[in-house]
Amino acid sequence: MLAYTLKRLVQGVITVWFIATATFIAMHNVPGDPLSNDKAVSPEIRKNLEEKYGLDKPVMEQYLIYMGNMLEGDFGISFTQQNRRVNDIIREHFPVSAILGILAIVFAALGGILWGALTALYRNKLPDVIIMFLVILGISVPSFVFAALGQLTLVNVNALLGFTLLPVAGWGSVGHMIVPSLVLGLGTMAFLTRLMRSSMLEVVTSDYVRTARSKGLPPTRIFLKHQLRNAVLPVITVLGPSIAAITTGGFVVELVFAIPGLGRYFVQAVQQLDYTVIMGTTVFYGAFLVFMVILVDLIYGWVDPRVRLE
Amino acid sequence: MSYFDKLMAFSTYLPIREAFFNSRNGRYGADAEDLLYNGPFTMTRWVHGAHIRFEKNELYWDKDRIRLNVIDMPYITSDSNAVLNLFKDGKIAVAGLDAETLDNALEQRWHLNRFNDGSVFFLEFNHRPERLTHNLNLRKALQLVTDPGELVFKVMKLPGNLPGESLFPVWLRGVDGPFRQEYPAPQHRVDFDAARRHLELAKQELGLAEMPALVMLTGDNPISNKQSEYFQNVFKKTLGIDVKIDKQIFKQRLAKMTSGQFDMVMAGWGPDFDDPLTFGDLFSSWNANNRGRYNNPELDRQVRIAQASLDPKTRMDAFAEIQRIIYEDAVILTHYERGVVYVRDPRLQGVVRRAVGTDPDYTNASIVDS
Repeated sequence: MLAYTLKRLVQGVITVWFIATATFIAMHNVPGDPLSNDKAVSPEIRKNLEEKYGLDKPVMEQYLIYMGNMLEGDFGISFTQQNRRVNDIIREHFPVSAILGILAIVFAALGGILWGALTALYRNKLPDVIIMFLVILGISVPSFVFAALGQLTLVNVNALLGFTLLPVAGWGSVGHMIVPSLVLGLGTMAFLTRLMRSSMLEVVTSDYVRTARSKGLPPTRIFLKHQLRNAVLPVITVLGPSIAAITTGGFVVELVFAIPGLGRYFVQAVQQLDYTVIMGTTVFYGAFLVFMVILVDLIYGWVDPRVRLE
Repeated sequence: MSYFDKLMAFSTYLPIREAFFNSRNGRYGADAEDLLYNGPFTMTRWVHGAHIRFEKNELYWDKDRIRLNVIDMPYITSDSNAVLNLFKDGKIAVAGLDAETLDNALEQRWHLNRFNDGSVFFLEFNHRPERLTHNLNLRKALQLVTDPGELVFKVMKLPGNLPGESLFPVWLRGVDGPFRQEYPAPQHRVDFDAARRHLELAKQELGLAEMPALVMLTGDNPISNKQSEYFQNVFKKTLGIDVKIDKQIFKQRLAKMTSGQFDMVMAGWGPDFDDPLTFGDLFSSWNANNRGRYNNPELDRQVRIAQASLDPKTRMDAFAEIQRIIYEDAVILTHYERGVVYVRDPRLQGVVRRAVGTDPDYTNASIVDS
């Protein structure tokens, strides 16, 4: 297990290095100038800015300096936010995105497993039809629609009650987190429901479940011990990338609910060609994704011992 | 320099205390404690992207005039629907509106406030010799089919915007009164027949049987989309000219503007200081913001007069001449002067909005009981 873990970690480091290098190359080849703005600056000011951000050096030298600084955990200073360090941006805003993402994934995973199992147990019956209809809605309707609808509903509910049941936007209390995390997790929950349903349908007709039934085990025990545990494996597989995707993809939900997460910096940096923030957030998110995939692989090995043997 | 005092109110020229700047070790302006304050309010809290709080500055020279103790901004988002929802929920006192949220606000029968933020938006031509738009007759043809009134009232449909008649917006001051009253903008009339005659002349001068498609560079926001599609339709319908819309994100649009990869570009200009020169020198040959590279010695001469003269009448005459040249030479096609529409809690009074300088200004603001 230790050798397996180490092997995965080394692969992870190489992947992160590749992400950083590819992002660096792509970023420098995107048309546009990170120092340009609405109003042109004089050549003298431009020269000073190039010196400040190290853009006066050859690209290869910039790359080596950047990689060296990155190894020391220094992502540099933002080009667009006055004198703000990229490390500070990540440190201040990632926890917000992470909390939102974790809540969303908990909601998505619990809902997905429950609804998926239910649809499989009631295959082709009314609960299955209703849930699968909602699942198609959840997959096909983009999150910004759910976000806008969720917020509008809150405004109307608060107006109807005459007091603030849940805040319409903002961040800071548990009340602020509930609706955004539900909205953010809906798409993933719908996806996991479908996955769980097909996985469960396979398990329901398997030999070991038939054997368990023939032994006369109670249905609850068959469901929990034999069906659910085996059917949940594919869900765990996609859970890692889903956590990373939800945590990094909450930009729209963060925007609508005025949540100070990292998502908006990630998107704005690309639009504004903020080199250091693009690099910092991409490498950080890349490393996070790689870490989550490795973590899930290790959990998978623990849940299914055959993986370790292989 | 006759506009020196105006320049001194421009934020670029505001002084910084050197000892404080050096004491921040490269973090000047990064957080609330990395700034020095001498205005009516000080920033006491700044959670980036989340929350800003200003409190009355007890050391302000005129502190007895300030009636607001705290200005709290607990939500930061660029989503206009979210902003309107917060206003509906009674959580904020002011909410800006756009075309998307305007109808919603009208349904609520709220009183709308509007003001012009001082900016002028226009279609800027590429005047580089290798471009088709270097040809005056082609530019005149496009000018004669352009109707800013139709754009503002039938296409953009956002109250507050004014049809663009000149590079010099209506709020600028002249010698004794508003510049545009003292020196009205050249009379613009849409004339399709004259436009077609200019187009024929342009084709002859350029040696073309058919006019090739022109590239219109534009931003990727909803307003630019609407405008560019409208003009694409107008130029095709009235002159038979095809327009290829090149939609780019901000930095890439700037890069293409600077390198001249366009025939015309949706552009705009906001004032820096309270003098017509803030617009007047935009198309001088040495101005780096003149990205269409318009070059006219007579316009340059007028700009130099406006920069050097101390006599207000001489300066305003020069600006009037610049205004005339820009229209007659079809340097740009002015589209609109931008208006801002917003709703405000009626209990909040005394907020000053202005085109140049601090906006909005809460120095005289107060909360009155309804």
